[in-house]
Amino acid sequence: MHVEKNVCDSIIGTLLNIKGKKKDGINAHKDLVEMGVRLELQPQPHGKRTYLPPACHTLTKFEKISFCGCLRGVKVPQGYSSNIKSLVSMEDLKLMGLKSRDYHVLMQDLLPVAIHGIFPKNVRQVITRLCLFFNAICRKVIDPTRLDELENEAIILLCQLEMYFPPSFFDIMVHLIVHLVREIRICGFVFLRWMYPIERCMKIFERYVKNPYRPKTSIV
Amino acid sequence: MRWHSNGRKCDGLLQHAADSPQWKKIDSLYLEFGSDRINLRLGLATDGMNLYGNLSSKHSSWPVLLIIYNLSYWLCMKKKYIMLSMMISGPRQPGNDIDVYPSPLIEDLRLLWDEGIEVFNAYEKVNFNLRVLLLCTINNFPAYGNLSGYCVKGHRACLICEENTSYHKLKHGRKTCYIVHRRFLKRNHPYLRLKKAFNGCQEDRTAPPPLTGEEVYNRVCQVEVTYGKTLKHSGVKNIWKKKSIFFELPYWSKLDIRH
Repeated sequence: MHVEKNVCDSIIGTLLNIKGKKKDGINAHKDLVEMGVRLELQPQPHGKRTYLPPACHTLTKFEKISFCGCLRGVKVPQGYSSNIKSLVSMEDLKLMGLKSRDYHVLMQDLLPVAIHGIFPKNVRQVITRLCLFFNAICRKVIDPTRLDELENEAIILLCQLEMYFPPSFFDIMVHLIVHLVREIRICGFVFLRWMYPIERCMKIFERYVKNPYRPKTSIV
Repeated sequence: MRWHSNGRKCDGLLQHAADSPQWKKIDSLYLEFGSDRINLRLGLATDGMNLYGNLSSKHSSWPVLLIIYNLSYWLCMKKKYIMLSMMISGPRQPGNDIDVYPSPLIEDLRLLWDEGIEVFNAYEKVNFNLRVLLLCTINNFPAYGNLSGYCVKGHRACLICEENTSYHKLKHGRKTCYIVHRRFLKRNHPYLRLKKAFNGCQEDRTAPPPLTGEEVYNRVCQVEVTYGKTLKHSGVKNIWKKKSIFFELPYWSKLDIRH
């Protein structure tokens, strides 16, 4: 669960260029130069200012408006997720106050729809396939013969992400995607081993605390 | 409780934790345990939570929850069937010292595994001997590090790749990134020969084999640790920080995925 949430968080942060969450910036471009790849992204000094060439995952303002506008128009059944419309801020063009469940819904269903028609085809395909991969491993019934296929898919996806996204995008959570399928193969389902029910349970415990001096007693 | 063996459809697809190889491996290793279907398989979950809401931002208590995997999959993750077995209170999170707190729980689990306890079956009106096995733990990544005793920060943060984790230290971003995923590809994949598209060199390493439970046990059995506040000393750095308390359970090192 946390893998999915954190990956989704960093994808959205990087795409919408949200301050504090984006993984792309001048230092990321400098690192690319240091590694000797994608030299066309090299920062160019113009007098006092520095010009950062747009990467393939950078969105223009109009594309951001179309992305956020698409998410703003989404209506979901009651109890499915929180009201997505209230999470999108059209002034700052970013998403705010998402809960982990909202990231789950975004990753499973909404993100492939929202990025329709705004990226170069290859980047769009990678993100869509990543969403489909997460959708496939969260199913309630899995065919064990398909697991090999899924594992290969995960690795190829990560390689393609490496081709398009800056290296600072790849923190440990992104790396753990490789091992997810192995865990399913050995230990069984994702939905029996994820944290959502546990966190829900903890929220209920939190509500039991009426006397802040003795919180444990009020839970028990 | 016996639903996982006789109440459900078995058609070769993965449908329940009982279809997983780990479950079957335990059944075949410990025949006596596996033959009685009513024996419990548990999962242990723990995470930090703040009991005071807005009143305090730093407080964190750690409930330890037990999940019964014998139940059908639409019941076992429900609040009604999750047991709150213990509560690690305190204004601060326990961190690496978390092993001190669940020792009574582990003692109980040990007793339940070795001998079992006499339980009354109200449906058939007979007494029977109940034994319990801890199948896995559920936690987020920092808690994963605390429970397993592995250092999940820094260069070798991945517990499954362990020493062979491929990392790259970014000079300008001042972060560690874990990039070279091409090594997990099949040997003849065309991506392996590309240079410019990736990090500037070809890749010829193979994927690291994941550690089994016994290998992990061999590594941690030598590690000495003192819990509580100690003076920091600059000794030899080890990626394994402690021998996890779960290794006191005799079957723990036989499991492939423990956390």
